Amino acid sequence: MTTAPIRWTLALALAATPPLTGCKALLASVTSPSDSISGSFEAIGGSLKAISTSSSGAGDASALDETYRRDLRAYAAAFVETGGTEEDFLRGISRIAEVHGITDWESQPGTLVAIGEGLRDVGLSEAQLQHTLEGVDPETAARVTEGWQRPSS
Amino acid sequence: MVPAARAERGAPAGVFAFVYVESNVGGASGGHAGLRLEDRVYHFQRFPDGTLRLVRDEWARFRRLYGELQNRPLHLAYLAVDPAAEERVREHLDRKWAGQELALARRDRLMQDAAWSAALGAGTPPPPLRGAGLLETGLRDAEPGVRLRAAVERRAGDGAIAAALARAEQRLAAQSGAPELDLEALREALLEREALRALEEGRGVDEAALVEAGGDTAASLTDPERVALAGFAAGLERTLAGLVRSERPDRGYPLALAIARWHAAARSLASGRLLLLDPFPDDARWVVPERELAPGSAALLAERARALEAEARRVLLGAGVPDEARFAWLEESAGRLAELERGAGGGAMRESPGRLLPSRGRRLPPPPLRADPAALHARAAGALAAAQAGLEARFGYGLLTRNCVTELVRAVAGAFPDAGSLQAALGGELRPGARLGFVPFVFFEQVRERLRVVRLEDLPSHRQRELARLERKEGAARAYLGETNVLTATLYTPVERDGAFLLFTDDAFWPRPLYGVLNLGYGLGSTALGALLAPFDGGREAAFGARGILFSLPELVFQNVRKGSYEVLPEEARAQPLRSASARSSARSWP
Repeated sequence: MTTAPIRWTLALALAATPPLTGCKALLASVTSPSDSISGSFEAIGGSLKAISTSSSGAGDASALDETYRRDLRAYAAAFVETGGTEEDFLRGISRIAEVHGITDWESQPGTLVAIGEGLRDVGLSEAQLQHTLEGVDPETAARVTEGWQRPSS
Repeated sequence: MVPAARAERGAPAGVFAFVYVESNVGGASGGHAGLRLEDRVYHFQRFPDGTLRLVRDEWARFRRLYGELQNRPLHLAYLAVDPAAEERVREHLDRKWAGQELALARRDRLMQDAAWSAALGAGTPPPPLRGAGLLETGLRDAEPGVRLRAAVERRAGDGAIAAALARAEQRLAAQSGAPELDLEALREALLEREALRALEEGRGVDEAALVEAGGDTAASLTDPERVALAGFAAGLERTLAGLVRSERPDRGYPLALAIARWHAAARSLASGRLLLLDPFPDDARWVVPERELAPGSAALLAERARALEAEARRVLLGAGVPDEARFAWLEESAGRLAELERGAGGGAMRESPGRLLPSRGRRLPPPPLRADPAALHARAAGALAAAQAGLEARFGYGLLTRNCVTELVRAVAGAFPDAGSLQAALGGELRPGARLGFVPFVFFEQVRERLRVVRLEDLPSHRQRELARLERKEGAARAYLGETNVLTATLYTPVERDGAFLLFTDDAFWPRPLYGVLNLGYGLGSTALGALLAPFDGGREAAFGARGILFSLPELVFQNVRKGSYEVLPEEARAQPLRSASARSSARSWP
C-alpha cells in the first residue's frame, strides 16, 4: 500500500480532475437509463415487500405510512422555519404527499396529526398553536392539536 | 426524541453507519459517501442543474445501484450512537430534505410562471397543464360518466358539482380581471374548472392515457381483483366528493386524476382486463435501446418488469382494497413494463426516474387577461432569476468545498447545537473538508480514526463477489486469467459508459501501471477506429474509445477508477448471500 502522504497527494490530484469526480446524480445521469430503470424496480420491489410483510395487509398502516407521516412532520417544521403563505403551505403538502404516491392527502388520517407534530417540533407554544388554528374547522383543528400533544415518537 | 418503543424494549442500538462507495466511471468517479440510518441512506448528489441535493434512498436500492450495477465496493463504519442522538440526526436530515423540496417547488413554480408569461406575451398557447390530458375532450354523458356524476352528487350533495364549478369560474374571473395576475392561481383555476366540467359533463378518460396491465401476457381480472377494484372505485367516489368541497388551492390535479382513475377502473370491470393510467410524465426521457443499452438489456429488463408487475398485482389487488399510495405502485409497475416491452421489441421507450404518478398534460387556453403580458413576464423572469441565484447560493456544488462529503458532514453536524454535543454523540469531531476530508476515502479514514466506530463492514462489488465464487470453483489462477481481460471474461460484458479497456485493474496494484499502458493503447486504437467509423455511427465508437483513454490515465500512477459496470444482472446474482464474501473481504482489508 502507498504511504499516507503519497496517497493523499494522489487523492488530491484525482479529486482535482473534474471529469473524474463529482457525486453526480445517479438517477439523473443521462448516461445510464438502465440504472434509473433498475432503481425504480428496486423502489417498487421494496415497497411491495413492505406491504406484503406488514402485519395487517394492504389497507392498513405500515412502514410506508410511517415514512409519509415523518416526512409531513419534517415538512411542517421546515415550513415554519422558512415561512410562506397559507396557499404555499397547502401546495407544499401536496408536493410531499406525491413523493409517497398520494394526491388526496386530505383523506389520509395521518396528515393533520403529522402537521401537528411538526409544529410541536419547532417549539410552537399552545397559545401560538391556538392562534394558528383560529378560523380552522373544529375537526381539522382537533387533529392538528392531537399531533401537537402527541408524545415524541 | 428517543424512539420510545426501542428504548423501552432495550433493543440493541440501531444502524448508524457512514458509507464509503469506491470510485468507478460514471456517476461518482471520485467515490461517494453517505450516512446509513437503519434502512435508509442519506447522501448528497449533484444534479444536472448544478445543485447538490440531499437524496434519500432505501438501503437495498442504494446497494443495488452502487454495489451491483455500478459495481463499486462499499465500506461501512458502524458507530455506537445513542438512540436519541440517532433520532436527532434523522429528524434534522428529514427536515433539511423537506426544506430543500420547498425551495425546489418554488423554483419549479417560477419556471412555469416564466414559461406562461412568455407564451402570453407572444400570443402563443401556454404550456400544457399537468393532469388535464388524462380526461377525454369529446364524448359527453356516456353511461359511466353519468353514473360517476350521480355517485359524487349522492355523497357531496345535490348541486355540489355545479356549485364547485361556479366557484372555479369565480376564481378564474378574479385572475382574469386582476392587474397583478397570480399565474399559479390562474393555472390552478383553469385545471380545476376543466376537471369539474369533465365531471359535470360525464366525460371519461382519454384513450391515450391508458395502459393495459400485464403487457403482452395480460391476464383477465380474477374475482378477488374485481372486488378490490370495485372497492377502490368506490373510494375514488368518496375522494371526489371530498375534493369537490375542498378548499385546497391545487385541487384540480387530484380531481382530474381521480376522475380518470375511476373511469379506468370502470372500463376494467366492464371488459375484464386491467386498464391503468399511464404514469409517465410528458417530459419523460426517450431511450433508444439500440443506441443506449447493451444488446438484450431491454428484453432482460422487461422480463424483470413482468415479474415485478405480476407481484404488484398479486400484492396490491389480491389482498383487499388498495389505498391510493399502493394503487400508484401498480400503475407505475404496469407503465414501466409497457415501456420496456416496447424497448425489447426494438422501439424507443420512455424512462423517468423517481416515483411516477399519472400526469398527462394538455393545453388549456386561458381567458382574456387584464394584466400586461410584458410586465408580467419581466416580473416572472426576475423572480425566477432571483430564485435560481438563491438555489445556487444554498445548494451550489463546489469540487473541494461543497461536495457529497462536506455537505454530509455539515448536515450531520447541524443536527447538534454545538461541537461538544456532536463530539459526545459520535465520539469525535468532524470538520467539513478538513485535512483533505472532502475526498470520500480520506473522509472514511477520518471516520475510522476519530469517531466511535464499533464495526467495519466491506461489501464487495458484484464482480468481486462473482470472481471469488469462480476462484473457488475453478481455481484462482484460471479464474484470474480468464476474467482479468474483457475479451475472455464471462462475468463482464462491455458497457458503453465504461469506455474501451482491455484489463481490469481494480484487483491488481503493482502491475496497474503496465495494465494502464495496455488499456491506454487499447483506448487509442478504439478511438482511431472510431474516427473512421464516425460518418456511420455518429462518433459513438470514438467516444467509447476516448472514455477508455480518460479512465486509463489514473492507472498509470497506480490509481484505479474503472471497475466495469452492468446494465442488467441476472436475478440469481441478486439472491447470492453476501455475508460470507463480505467477511472474507473484511478480513483482508481491515486487519
